[in-house]
Amino acid sequence: MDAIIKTTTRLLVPLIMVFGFYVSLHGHISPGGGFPGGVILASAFLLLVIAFTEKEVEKHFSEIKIGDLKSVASIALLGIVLLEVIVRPDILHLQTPLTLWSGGVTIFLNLFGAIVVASGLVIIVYSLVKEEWKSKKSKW
Amino acid sequence: MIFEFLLLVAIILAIAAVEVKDMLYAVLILGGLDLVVAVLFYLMAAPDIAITQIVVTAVFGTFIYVVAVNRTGRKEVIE
Repeated sequence: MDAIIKTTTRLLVPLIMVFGFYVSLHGHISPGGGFPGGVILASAFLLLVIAFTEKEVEKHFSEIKIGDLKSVASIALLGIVLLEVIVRPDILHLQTPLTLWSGGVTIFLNLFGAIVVASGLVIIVYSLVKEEWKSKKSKW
Repeated sequence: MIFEFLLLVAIILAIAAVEVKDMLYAVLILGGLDLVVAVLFYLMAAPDIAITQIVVTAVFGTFIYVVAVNRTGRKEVIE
């Protein structure tokens, strides 16, 4: 792609990722949640693979590390659910309702759920795009 | 008033997406239809569903359709 699209992508990708984390972290007090936040995070990667070539993406990206991130976030999700049984009576006294620090452990569930969704969708997008890069007839 | 107008726009876009011959244009019209449906969800006081509609169908659905069109060809083939 040309220089305008590359420069705009460099400016936009951090902002899209910040918005994705905002949507997932505010999921318990405003519209949003783990799933839409995770898909917004993955759409930043979508913009990246459209704008840049194969070598430029693979210089900063490793599919195995994304798979490891997905596994670690899934185990963390399970651990939070098990931990919530123990800490549920204590954590509600420490929180104030209708602020960011409220709703028990929901904020951690949204955060790690967003990471699981984002890494899964990044792997799907990357495997689709890798096939396109391989085929000679492709216009990308 | 604007609700009925957007319903009419959604119906017109849906018919256009079926009738147009170029597959890439059909995919883009389908993305526009998803945006209109998301605004309709927002007007029906469901912003959560509107966010999911925009992000999943209008962004990821369009991407997957574009990849599929890129592999199969833009011309509509009638057997």
